[in-house]
Amino acid sequence: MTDEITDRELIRRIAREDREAFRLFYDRHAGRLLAYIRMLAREREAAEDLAQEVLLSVWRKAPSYRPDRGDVPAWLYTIARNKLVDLWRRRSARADEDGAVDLTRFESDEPGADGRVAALSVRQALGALKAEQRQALELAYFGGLTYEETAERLDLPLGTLKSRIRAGLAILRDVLTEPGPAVPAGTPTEAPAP
Amino acid sequence: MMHPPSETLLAHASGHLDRALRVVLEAHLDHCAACRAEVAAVSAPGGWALGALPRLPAPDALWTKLAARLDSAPAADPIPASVPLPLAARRELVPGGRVRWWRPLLRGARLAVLDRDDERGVALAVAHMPGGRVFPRHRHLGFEHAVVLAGGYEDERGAFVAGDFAIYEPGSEHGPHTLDGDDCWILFRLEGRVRFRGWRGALQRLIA
Ligand SMILES: [Zn+2]
Repeated sequence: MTDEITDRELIRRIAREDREAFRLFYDRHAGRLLAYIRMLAREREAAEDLAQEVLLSVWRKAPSYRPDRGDVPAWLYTIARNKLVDLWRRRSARADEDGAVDLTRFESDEPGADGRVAALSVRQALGALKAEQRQALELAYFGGLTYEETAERLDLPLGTLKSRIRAGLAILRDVLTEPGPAVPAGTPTEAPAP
Repeated sequence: MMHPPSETLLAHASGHLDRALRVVLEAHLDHCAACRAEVAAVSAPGGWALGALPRLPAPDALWTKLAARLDSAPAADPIPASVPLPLAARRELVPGGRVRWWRPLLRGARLAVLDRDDERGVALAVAHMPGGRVFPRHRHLGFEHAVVLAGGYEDERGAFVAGDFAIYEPGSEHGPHTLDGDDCWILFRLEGRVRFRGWRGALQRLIA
């Protein structure tokens, strides 16, 4: 595992228009990206088109990537979310009937590409979140609704919704960064700047 | 430094900002390590969720399409290199298109619309003015989000220099002047129109 090229190094090479590096990035991330987009996009073809747009953005944006704004998967997540929400705005179309992405769907038993055993901490995270925080995150952070739609659905003022999301994210972050049994010692990680 | 509210950073990380606001925010992030750290913090759970999904094989057909797009995609963004717009902000804009400068009703200032969403009444623009000039007093009919790209300006709220992020609420009114010295470049996202005061306002209504 340790001789595997890091995501950060791949992005550095992609920034120099290295297609081989881009192919490696594709093999490492495109499957998961597609799986996430499929949770949220209605038709299979739309999901592939959207994944293509996201990956094209990675190619274009690689020269501007800075590690201190998040690790590569977090950066990729933000790019994917922006493309998804742009699409929803254009078509005012929704994914699932209820727009939520159940957090347990991120629970797989495989180690992450960068060696993290991220999935194992899903259970910890779920245990730590209050039901109302989990619901807000499942709709508006991981799921397919805008803030306005989520606030309306939950019959909450926008400000309350946003503070639930913030509080929920802070808890998730704690679980993620907690040195616990979920991440074995010596596992190569690419942690964001503290 | 003047920062965007932290909820704007959260909205950015989870995809809830429109393109014009993303460009403005990226311009601020380029100047601000504190806000970059905040974006890192709020986007981390998303990256972690992606990483926790099963590692499915990605279809070869998708790669083939993608590789073809790389061959045909225009690499350059439409903004001339002379505009001090950071790379991350440039890459947020769609490639292609053309920027047309427009000289408003005062000497030495120019303005270009970089992106617009007519349906939602949103425009992204950059203004370029020499130092030490007065900009006509005006009222915002919708929100304005602005970032100083270079130089600086001052209004009733204080002085703003490179990297500073400012929000002007609907109904707010100000009469900025650029600081002495370097040229001032401001990137801004406008909702709705701006109404000038005095004879310029009369002229604006006449030509609108
Ligand atoms: Zn800042």
